[in-house]
Amino acid sequence: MLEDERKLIELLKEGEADAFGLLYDHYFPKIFRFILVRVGRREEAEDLSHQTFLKAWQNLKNYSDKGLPFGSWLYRIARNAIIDYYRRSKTLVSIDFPFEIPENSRLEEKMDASLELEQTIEAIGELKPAEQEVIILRFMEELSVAETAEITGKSEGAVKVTQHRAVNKLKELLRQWKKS
Amino acid sequence: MEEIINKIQKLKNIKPRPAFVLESKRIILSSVQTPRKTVFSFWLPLPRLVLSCSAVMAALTLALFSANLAGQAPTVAKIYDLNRETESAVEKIDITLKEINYFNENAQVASLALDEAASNGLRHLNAAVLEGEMESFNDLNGYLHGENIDKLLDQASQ
Repeated sequence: MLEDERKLIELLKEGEADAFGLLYDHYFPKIFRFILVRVGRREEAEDLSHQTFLKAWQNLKNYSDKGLPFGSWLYRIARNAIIDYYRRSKTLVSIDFPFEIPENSRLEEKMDASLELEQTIEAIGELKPAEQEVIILRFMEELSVAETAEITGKSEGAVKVTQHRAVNKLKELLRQWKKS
Repeated sequence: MEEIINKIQKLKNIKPRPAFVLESKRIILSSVQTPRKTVFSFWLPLPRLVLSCSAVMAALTLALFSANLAGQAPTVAKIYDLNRETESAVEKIDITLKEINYFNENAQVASLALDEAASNGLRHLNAAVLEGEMESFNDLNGYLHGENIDKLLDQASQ
């Protein structure tokens, strides 16, 4: 959660565009990652991220602070955007975006890191959509079980069960890929 | 488990293009936001009310127009004919009222004449009475000449 987030939200509700700018800077990379890992294409992830923030900006009056970070609301909007995207396109995840690997890495390291990330995303892509969401939110974005439950609309117990199942599936998938 | 979590956490290296982030932010912040409630929000129902009334009027006009097309309601020509008939009826009523007034006045005159005739026993129509009156008138006419008038005036002045 962003420091002084509540103060920013108060300012935002009073019509301070700068407050939205600060929240945007903080949350855009997170929302973009969340979408990109799900849809696999940079352009589409950019479009969906833009749509997410545009919807948030236009519907700020509908945001009610339930003690959870502003990000939870953004993740929920992004989640709906992804669902709509799959309803429209029905295309499967195919990874076609370059990863940003630290500049000081050697070429060999860069390639290894890139391959590893690709494999991880492919493995996540093999999971069910609900499992993907939980894995991304819990381990990539490091959100709490409560926050993940709020975003996905599940109970905390259901999130824990989904997480356990998804981790086991990923373990199995990566083990199989190592063998092959 | 840890190995998998570490792999997933490395996905944090995925970052959006800075140029896209800036452009997207600029577009969003320059877009129109849903208006918030202000002190003047109480005026907002007014345009809504006007809009609603307009919509109702439009719906009524459309309904009347549709009914006309279907021939279920009077056409404009029929309404015009009806109007003319009404005007004609009003004129007739007006004429009748004038006639009633005329007859009423005449009835009063006739009534007075009848009363007079009844009280005098129709004397004014008797030829002998009429002749008598004519003679006395002639006498009086003859009396009112020259010196007689002067005498009468002197008597009146004394």
